Amino acid sequence: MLSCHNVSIERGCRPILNNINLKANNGELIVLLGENGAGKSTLLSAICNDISFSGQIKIDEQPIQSFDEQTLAQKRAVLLQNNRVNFSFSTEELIAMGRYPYHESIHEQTQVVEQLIAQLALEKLALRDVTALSGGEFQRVQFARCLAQLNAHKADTKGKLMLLDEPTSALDMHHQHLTLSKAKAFAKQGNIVIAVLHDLNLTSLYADRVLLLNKGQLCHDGTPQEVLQSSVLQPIYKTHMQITTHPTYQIPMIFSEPQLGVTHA
Amino acid sequence: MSTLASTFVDTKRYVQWYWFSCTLLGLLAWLSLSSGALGWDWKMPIVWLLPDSMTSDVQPLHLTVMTQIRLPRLLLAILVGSMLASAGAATQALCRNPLADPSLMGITGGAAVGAVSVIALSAQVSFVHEAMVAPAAFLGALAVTTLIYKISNHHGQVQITTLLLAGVAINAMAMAIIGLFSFFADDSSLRLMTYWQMGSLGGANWPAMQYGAPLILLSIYSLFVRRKKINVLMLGELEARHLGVNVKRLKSEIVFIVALGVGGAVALSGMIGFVGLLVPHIARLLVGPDLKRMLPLSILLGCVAMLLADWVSRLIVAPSELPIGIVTALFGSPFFIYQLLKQKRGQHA
Repeated sequence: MLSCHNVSIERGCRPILNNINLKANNGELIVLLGENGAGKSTLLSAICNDISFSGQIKIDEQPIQSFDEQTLAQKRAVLLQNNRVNFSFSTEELIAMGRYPYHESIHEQTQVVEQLIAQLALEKLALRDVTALSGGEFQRVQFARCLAQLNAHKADTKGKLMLLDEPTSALDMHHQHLTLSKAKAFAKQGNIVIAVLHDLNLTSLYADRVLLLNKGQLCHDGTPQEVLQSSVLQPIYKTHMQITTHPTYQIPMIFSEPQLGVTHA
Repeated sequence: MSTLASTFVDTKRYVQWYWFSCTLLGLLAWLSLSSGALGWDWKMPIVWLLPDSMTSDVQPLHLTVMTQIRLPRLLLAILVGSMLASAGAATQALCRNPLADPSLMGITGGAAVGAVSVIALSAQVSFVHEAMVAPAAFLGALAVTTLIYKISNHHGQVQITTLLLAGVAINAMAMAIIGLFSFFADDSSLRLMTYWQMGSLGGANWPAMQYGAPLILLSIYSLFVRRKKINVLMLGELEARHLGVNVKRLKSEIVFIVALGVGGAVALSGMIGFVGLLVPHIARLLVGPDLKRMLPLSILLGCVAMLLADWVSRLIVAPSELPIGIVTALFGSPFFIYQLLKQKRGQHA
């Protein structure tokens, strides 16, 4: 379980996050939404203990600062955005680095990597040089590394925390669904996944809970049906949108409209 | 296809490179021991290992030359080569850029300033003596490594342009300080300073090895035991932290170890550039960037490169010899330009 109590962050005199309170339970896939600069990535950084903050963040009732590096690395994994590697590791080697927090044999490590490569359909990339991968391919490999770090190949993994900063931003539709369904399955095993997304329809399809941030404040916290409403979203995104219901899954589907003054062919 | 199988195939290939490097190292070591100003005698290294009763036809002078001049020189080449190569691999991982190198970053320059200042001052000031050369070289290297890393690090990302420009500035400053000391130095100090500036293995002797070798061996060992952690650091500082590495501590350790080793190497052999750039690059091409495989091969190839450069430096102007730093710079600088162009192409691709 993850909890944040009165988490605030200031940069200079400018507040970036203001009194964030939230509780995430095992089994939930939580999506963080908000416009650019709302504080989503900063909140993830705070939960990672990468930046200093006021307030308290606890994992399983223990302050995050009290964990030693290795225990914390076995408990939570982070997928950052916009990170490239300058050295020609193979995809296999990069995924295997997710096993760094564990003391295990090369054979065990290789088994984990093989399982994840098969589960995420990365076979064709397995021996490729990561510096030569496209942005989307690299994002998929980094996601696999996070899963390797949290023992996601085991069906009985519980109580782990996965933080994903825009994990689908460079992916095609097929791989967006593959990544998020894998994240959802991981959450359903009894883990927590917190993902920053910009795609409202993917949010509606996969999120158990949606947190909407606005100017550093947590303004809405609820199910996709509760948060993904035009009265909630339009003032924040400053975009006209129509919201209908998915014919099969009965969940909100969002259709945005062109900005005023822009002609549509 | 099972990717496990491919890993086994690759392992066989890596081992082949280790054997190849060891063989090459053995051949060059034999060449280094059997040739010199007294000529070439291929039997010398074997004769030396035989009992005295069987070596009666060998001139004692030849044996003395081999044990007192060629052997320390061989060991010095091996120590300095392995140190510069492993320091290169470590700084490249620290800076997350394959263009980082102790000589380009000004670390060897900083160490040389430390060494030269002791040499210059030992003639003038009574409490400064030549035993302080190695500690002074270490302090010079440490100061530069810390400074250069702080200048070029921006939010955990090392800017390679800033790194190289800072290296240019620091090298220029080092040259100016050495020039200043040279200006005021007497003849004997001046000769030593010139030797330090151009790099040479000619000064190898057993007493000097006694204080330089432990420094270098300790540094190589310290880098070797950290190779798994340093590997993870190549992913990025935040990623390494998320994977359980104490990044702040590891970075300080790398800076300290590199400074210790490069300081020791400069104290023994002067400024020898480009080995730290060229050798890790070749090792990466052969076995990939994973330090678990690449660092041992870098160490082996560092010895090979240094012995080869030493042999060339002795061969070109025999019976005299060229400073080895000139040979490594002649081979290394075109390679550096090639790497720069390659990185530029990569950025614009």
